[in-house]
Parts: sequence; C-alpha cells; structure tokens
Amino acid sequence: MAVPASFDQQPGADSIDHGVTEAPYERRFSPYDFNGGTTLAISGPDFAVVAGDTRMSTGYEILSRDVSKLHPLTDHCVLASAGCKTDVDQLRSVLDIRSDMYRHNHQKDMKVTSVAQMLGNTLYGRRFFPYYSFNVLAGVDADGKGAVYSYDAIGSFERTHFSASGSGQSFVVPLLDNVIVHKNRCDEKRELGADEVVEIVKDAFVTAGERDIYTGDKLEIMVITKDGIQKSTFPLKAD
Amino acid sequence: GMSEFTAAETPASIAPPPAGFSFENVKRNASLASSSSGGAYTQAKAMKTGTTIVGTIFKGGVVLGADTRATGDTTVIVTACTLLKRMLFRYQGHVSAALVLGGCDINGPHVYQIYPHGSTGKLPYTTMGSGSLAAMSVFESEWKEDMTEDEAKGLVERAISAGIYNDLGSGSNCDTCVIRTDGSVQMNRGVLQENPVQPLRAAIKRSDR
Repeated sequence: MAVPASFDQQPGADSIDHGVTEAPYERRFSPYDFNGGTTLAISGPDFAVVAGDTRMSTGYEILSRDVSKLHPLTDHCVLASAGCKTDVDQLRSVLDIRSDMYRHNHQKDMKVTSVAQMLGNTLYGRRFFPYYSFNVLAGVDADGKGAVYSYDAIGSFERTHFSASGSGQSFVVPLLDNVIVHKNRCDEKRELGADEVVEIVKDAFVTAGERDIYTGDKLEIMVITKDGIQKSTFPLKAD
Repeated sequence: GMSEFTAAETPASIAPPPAGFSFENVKRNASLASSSSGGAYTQAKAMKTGTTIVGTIFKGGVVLGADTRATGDTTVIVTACTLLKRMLFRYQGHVSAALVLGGCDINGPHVYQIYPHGSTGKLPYTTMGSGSLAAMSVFESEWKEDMTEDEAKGLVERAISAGIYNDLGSGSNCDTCVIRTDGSVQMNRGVLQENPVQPLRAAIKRSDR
C-alpha cells in the first residue's frame, strides 16, 4: 500500500494520498520521502549536548522504533540529522570519507570548525538537487568550549548557542528560547551544568513527543566534552 | 442486500427536503375519502411511535430522561444507517465522516460501516480510520462467532491498541461502548490508559525538585 517516495500533488492538497481525488492533478515522482523525527543540540562552557529520537516513519506508518539520528564524525564532533533517511545515510558516508582523507593527509583529526565548514560545502555541492537532510552539528572546539552549528538543506550554516531541527522543531525551539537563552523571563539567569542541560533535553523531547506524531519511542543523548563522548538513552512514549 | 435501503417513497431529486408542511394533497385526499368516490379508498392513519420521555425540575436544575427504544419502526439500525448514508451522499463526500454504526434492535445486534461518500457495508466486525489496517489485523486473527461480552471487549481493546501503537494518526487512550440486546448501554471512557506522560516527567530531575 505504501510507496517509498511520495507523488507530488497540487499545493494545499493533503500530503497523504487516500486514493480519492477532489480535482484532476498531475502525478509526478518525488525523489524525497520524509522519515520524521527531531534533533536538538545545546552548547555549554565546556560541553555540548546533542540528542535525537529513534523513531523512523513514513506517512502514518512506523518503519522502525530504534534508528539512530546521531553520528560521531570525530571523537569530539557529532552530526545529528533528520529528514530523508537515505539522504542522511549518504551524507554521513560522504562526510566519513572526506574526514578519513583529511586524517590521512594531515595526520590529525578534523576540528569542529573545519567539519562545520566541510558540511556546509558538501551540502552546497548539491545546491540544485539537495540532500534532504536537516542537520545540527555539535562538538567541542579547539579552546575546549561547546560548539553547536545549525544548517539548512543547502549548506547555509551558523554557529549558535543551541539548535533544533526536524518535525518537532517548532515545539522545542520556543521552550529552549525560554529555558536556555532566558527569553521572556524576569528572574536571574544562571549557568546550567551538563547534567541539568541533559534533564532539560529530556523534558523537551517528552514535550515534542506529546504533540508531534513523528517523535517518540526512545531518546538518544550524547554529551561531548574534551574527554570524549558519553552516550545515554531515555524512554519516550510509543503511541 | 440493498432492498432494505429502498423505501416506499424515494425523493425525485437529491435536493434537501423543503421546509414546512405541504398541503398539496388535502383537497385530493378529502375527495377520495368522501362517499362520492365509492368508498374504495381508506385514508392511511398517522403512526404513533412509542417512546417514553420525561422531565422534572429539582433544587439544583433539571433532569431529563428518555428510553432508548423507538418502537414505531422495528428495524432501527437500518433506519439510522439509511439516514446517515443519504445525508452523506447528498454532500458528495465533502462531509468527511467515516463511521462505524452499531446498535441493537428487534432483529438483534448489528454493525454497519459508512463511508464519507455514502456507501455502506453490513458486517459482523469492521474497522475505520487511519489505524483501520492495524486494528483489522487483530480482528482477522482473533475474531470468532458468538463471543461473550468479555471476549468481545478484550478483542476491541486489543484492536484499538494496535492502532494506538502502530498508527501515527492514533494514540493515547481507548474508550469502548457496549450496547446490549436488552436495551442497556454502557459507556467506558478510558478503559485503557496506557500512555500517561506523568511517569516520564517524574523521571526527569528538574531544578525545582
């Protein structure tokens, strides 16, 4: 019943094709599918936290409850991607190869700032047939400070304090604007440690899971410090 | 078959019925009923539909009551199905309602499925909605004839659960409603409440705890 990639319809039409047409429309093959999910990264003075749910879906169906959206590129740098899984996999593969080549040529790992630029360049390389991948890069920079970079699908990027992308982005960003960046509040802003940021991330995903049908099942969290990457998981609702 | 849906009077067009009473036939009926027509025609009597309805005030408000049986027409569920399908057909599918109609009448328990364009099906069991395939897979595996009420309730709960967990368009809790042939109706809101968010929130160590 389900086809891997969707057929395009007129703008404004329901994106789920129920087989009943209201008016004649031209069917075109779309090379993109949306596999859902949400990712989030927050930087701190000496750490970065990056997280993603593990649900992969298409249309109204679940393809898997346990697929990772997080991909370590070096010991201090993790790429979190949501969007079309096949494009995400290909992008990871390309970045891995280029990262390996860098290591062979320069006898050292790429720094986060370099990875950030390389990802932007790789995405722009397909400016006219983009990778359908909404990326967030997180890591610790050369000075030991947490670094988070946000991307669009065609390689525009910026270093930010925090970033969220994917289907649940709209539910998470306003929450983090308030809790992390301290917007719209009158009390004293205080510094948040890595443990507290992890708890905030869990709360954000529970919230996103309540309202976004594509987010749920399990949450994967990676905390990046100068000493490496620590992974943990947290259960989310399966409905 | 289809015969139960065709009534003695079928409207000539599918336009909405006109409002108010039509007195077109008064003169004709009067002359037919009168002795001058030879007494061959006996006028049809208006049919009373048996029902009990009551109302009373009390200190805190009013209480209204009604029985759940309209005995004027003995085939109640077919009538309900017919009314719904005619209305939906009139709206040509623009009223996006897909229904499962269930109830008991003089002929026993019945289940109908009604689609947004007005087509219907009469079946021993049915599912509708985005989770209908998930639910039907449970029904097709486990339905059997002449189940007890507990067996049927359990089966329905398992079918809805399949939709809750495997269909992204469905979630949270399950409600059931049992309508028995003795006329009793039992609404069970939240018979399954397996997806509370509270335990997840409680597991998060917030700074105010």
